[in-house]
Amino acid sequence: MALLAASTVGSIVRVVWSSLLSSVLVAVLFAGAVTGLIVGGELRRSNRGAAAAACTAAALVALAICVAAVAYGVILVGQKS
Amino acid sequence: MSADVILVIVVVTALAFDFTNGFHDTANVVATSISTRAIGPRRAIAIASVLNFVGAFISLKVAETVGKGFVDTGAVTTTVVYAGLLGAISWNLMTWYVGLPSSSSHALIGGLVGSVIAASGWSAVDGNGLLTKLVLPAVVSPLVAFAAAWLAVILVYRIVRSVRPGGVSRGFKLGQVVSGGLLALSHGTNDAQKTMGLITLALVASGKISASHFYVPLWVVVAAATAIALGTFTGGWRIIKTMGTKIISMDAAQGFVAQTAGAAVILASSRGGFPLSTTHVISGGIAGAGAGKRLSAVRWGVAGEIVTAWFLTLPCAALVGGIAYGVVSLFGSGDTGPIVLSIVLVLGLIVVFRGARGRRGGGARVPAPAVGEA
Repeated sequence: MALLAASTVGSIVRVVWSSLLSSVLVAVLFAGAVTGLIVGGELRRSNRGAAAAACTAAALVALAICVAAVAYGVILVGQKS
Repeated sequence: MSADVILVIVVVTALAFDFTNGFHDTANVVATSISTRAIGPRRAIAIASVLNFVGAFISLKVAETVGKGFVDTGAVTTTVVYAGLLGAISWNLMTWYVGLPSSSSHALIGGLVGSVIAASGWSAVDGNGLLTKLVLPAVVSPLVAFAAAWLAVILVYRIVRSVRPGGVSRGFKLGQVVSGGLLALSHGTNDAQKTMGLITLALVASGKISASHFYVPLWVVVAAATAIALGTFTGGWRIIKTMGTKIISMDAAQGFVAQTAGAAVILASSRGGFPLSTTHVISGGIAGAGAGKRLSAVRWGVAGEIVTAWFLTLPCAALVGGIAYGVVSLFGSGDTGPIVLSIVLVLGLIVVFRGARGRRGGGARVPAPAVGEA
C-alpha cells in the first residue's frame, strides 16, 4: 500500500516537473523563433544578408526543436510504460 | 438477460455523459484561439472535434485508473455502475441548474465511489488510490498549469519585447493554431478515457471481461471517441453565437502559452494515468498567462470557483451516487430499477432544461473567463 502510494506520488512529481519544463521550453523556443524570423526579415530589408541568414537559420532551428519536443511528448503519452 | 439490459443502459448513459462532456468543454478548448482571432470559430470547432477523436486513441492509462484504480472490481455490479453514473449526472444537473461550480470528471468518480460504498461498504473503496490518483492530482494540476503559464509568459515577453508587436502577434496567432490543436488532442486523451474506464468496469461487472485481464475493447474506444467528438462539434455552435459578447481579453502570446501549459499538464497526467478536471487545468493556464502580464487582470473569482468545486464535487457526488444506488435497489436487483430511473432521468432533463431556458430567456451559459473581459 505504502509502496503504491510512493510510486504514485513519484508519478505526480514527474507530471509536475515534466509539464512545467515542457511548457516553458516550448513557449521560450517558439518566442525565440518568432523573434528570430522578425529580426531576420528586418536585417534582410536593411541589406545585411549574412546576419539575416544567421538569424533566420537560428529561428528555424528553434522552431524545429519546438515541433520535435511536442511530437516527442505526444509519442511518450502513447507509449505503454 | 436482465444483466445485459442493464449493461446496455449503462453503455448508452455513459456515452451520453461523454457527449455532454464534449459539448460542455468545447468552450474551454477553443475559446482562447477564437478570442485572440487566431482561427475562425467554425474551423476551430471542426479541428477540436477531430483532434478530440484522435486523442482518445493515444493512451488508455486513464481508462485503466478509472476502471480499477479506485474500487474493488469484485464488489462492482452493473447496477452499481449505473447508480454511480446516475449520481454523477444528477449532481452535474443540480449544480448546473443552481449555478454551483462542479467538475464532470470528479462527479463521475465521486458518483461511482458513493454507489460502491452504498452497495458493499467502505472496504470496497481503495482510499489510497482515491487520494493519490484523484484528489492529489486534482489539487496540483491547475496550480502547475498556472505556474507554468505564469513563468512562460514572463519569459516570452522578455524575449519579444524588442521586436515589432504586429509581427509577434501574427507569429503567435499561427502558433495558437497548433497549441489549440494540442489542447484538443490532450482533452481527448483524458476526458474520453473516463467513459471508457466506466464502460469497461461495467463489462467486467457483467462478466464480459475478466477482472484479472482488464483491457479496454476497441469498440469502447471508438464509441467513447465518437461521442466526445460529436459533443465537441455540437457544443461548438453555441460558442459561435456567444463568443461575440464574451471576449476574453488576451493577446496571442498569452493564448499560446495558456494552451501550451494546459496541454502539457493534461498530456503528462494522461501518461501517468491521472483523471483530471480538464476545465480546471485550462482555467489554471489562462489565469497564469493573465497573471504573468498583469496580476489585476486575473478574475480571482474563477480560482475561488475551482477551489469550491474541489471541496464540493467529490463528496457530494458520492452522496448522490449512494442515494441513487439506494433508489435503484428499491426496485430489486433486476432491470426494472435502471429502466424506470432512466425514464425519470430523461423526463428530469427535459424539465430542467425547459426551466433553465425560461429563467435565462433561452441564452446559453458560457464559462466564466479566467481573465478580465474586453
